Amino acid sequence: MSELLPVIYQYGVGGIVFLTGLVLITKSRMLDLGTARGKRWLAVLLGGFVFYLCLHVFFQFIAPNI
Amino acid sequence: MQETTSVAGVDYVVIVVYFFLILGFGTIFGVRTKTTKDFFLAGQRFPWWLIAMSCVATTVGSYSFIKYSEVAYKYGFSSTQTYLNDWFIMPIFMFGWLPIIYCSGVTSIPEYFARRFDTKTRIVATWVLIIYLVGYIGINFYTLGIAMHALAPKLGEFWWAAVIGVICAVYVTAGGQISVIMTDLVQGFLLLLAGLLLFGLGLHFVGGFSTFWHAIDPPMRHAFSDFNRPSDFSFVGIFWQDGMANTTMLYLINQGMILRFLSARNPNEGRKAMTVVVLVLMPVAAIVVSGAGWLGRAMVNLDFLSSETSAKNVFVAVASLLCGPGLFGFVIAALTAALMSTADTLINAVSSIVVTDIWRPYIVREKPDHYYLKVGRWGAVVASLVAILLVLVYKRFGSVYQAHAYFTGAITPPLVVAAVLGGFWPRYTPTAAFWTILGGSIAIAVSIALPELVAPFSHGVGPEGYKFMRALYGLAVCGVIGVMVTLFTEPKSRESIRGLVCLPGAGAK
Repeated sequence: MSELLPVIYQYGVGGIVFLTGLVLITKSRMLDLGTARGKRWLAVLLGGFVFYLCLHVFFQFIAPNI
Repeated sequence: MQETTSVAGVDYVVIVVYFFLILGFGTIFGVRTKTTKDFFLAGQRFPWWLIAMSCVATTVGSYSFIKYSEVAYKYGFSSTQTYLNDWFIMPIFMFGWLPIIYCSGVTSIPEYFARRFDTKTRIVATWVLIIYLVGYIGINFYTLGIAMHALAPKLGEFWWAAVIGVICAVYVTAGGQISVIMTDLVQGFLLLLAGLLLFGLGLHFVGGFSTFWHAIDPPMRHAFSDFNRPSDFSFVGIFWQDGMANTTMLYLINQGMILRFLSARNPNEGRKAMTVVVLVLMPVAAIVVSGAGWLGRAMVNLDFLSSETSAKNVFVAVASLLCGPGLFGFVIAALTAALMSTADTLINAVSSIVVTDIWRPYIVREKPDHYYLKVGRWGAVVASLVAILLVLVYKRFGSVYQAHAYFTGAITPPLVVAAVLGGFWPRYTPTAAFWTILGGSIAIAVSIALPELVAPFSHGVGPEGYKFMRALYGLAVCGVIGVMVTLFTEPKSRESIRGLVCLPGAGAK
């Protein structure tokens, strides 16, 4: 649990901040999902989130035991 | 087993030559600086890759090598936490804040506050920001003064800080933002190269990556520290102090970073730069600044380095062990690069605020542009001098980091909350913004005198860690002030804040 808690907290609380930001910019159409460029940037934003999640999961749970 | 640090004459030569090269390189760009737009925004002509490299050079501060090597040596791979927790605010930065600031035509955050809120909010934000920036420059000068004094004790800490300060002031005064970005490009490459070179040499020295990895104690191989201990390096403390408050301050409000993104060709170039910075360069920078600490821990466990080696000296100890004469000077020059590339950005930022938020609107109005360019240059000189004098004040503190933590903890949350609510909540009122900054700062100052106020936000972190958890306390208090005052005061009309706030449908063509 002590190893899991920081990951849950970071991606739980941080995830709320991230998702709130996504909702704000898509509702305001500052990120316009009706365009190919907008969809590409959404993929970059979500991809970045998943990249860091995977990086942290790897180094928190897998790498220490290698 | 290595215990002492030795500096050869050739190392001094490398360091001195580096100083003169940067001074000359930066000053050359003064020739191109003709207007205040050149001086502060570099003519808004730079591509994303130049902005990205410059951002990293600014983000890796003077004390980064020393500070992160220290925590890497003590706590292992969790030293990377602060470099890898920036992505959460990227949606609001890249698609909310950046286009608002870029397209509204403002050149400073206080100027944005004036247009979004009112004059009194601009004034209070201006002074809070100037105190933050000048204090930050002083800390940068001081930390390098300490490092250089350890290597060359003939010159005292203050005088080393003064020498570095004068060099930064000369080329920033001559060339402004163009010099800052171009010298940061060189210095960014230099510090990344030196850090990676050091790490590579260390892996070779200990017998390869596998030997290195297994020489690190297993509990030190995790990405995160324990949730709420130790008090001075807990996960939750770092998450709130750095991941939420400092990261938001750095990207949304720090005038140095704002000017950097405003110097991009367009907002999309800024987004590209930000993506590369956070997804690629920050993980690399995490290795660069922590590498010596990890190597130091492995070397101690493998008996290559004395177990008496102190955490504060581990960077210099490892660098001196791995590098021959000349190369050691190169690594120390990279340490210097980290300082100068942070300090020059901040000096230019202060001069920008002096012109945009004090001189032009309130002291001498409607003068030709070259007059304000001259004021900007004098602003850079005065900011540098004040920061050099602050070194004398910082020398009185037992620990500069403790002073720094208290200092930034008190400054960051009010501006962060005011900017975020201002940019993303149309109902947020000018009176609420004013009291968020002023009332929030007072509430945080009170919590320094009465630390028990932070306890309800501590997540079980001990009192020693309250300087980290004060960020959460500050964000919460400022948020409550902002919301409560807004509910009882009159907002500005939607029309008057169009383009300054993320309104529904604002981005629609």
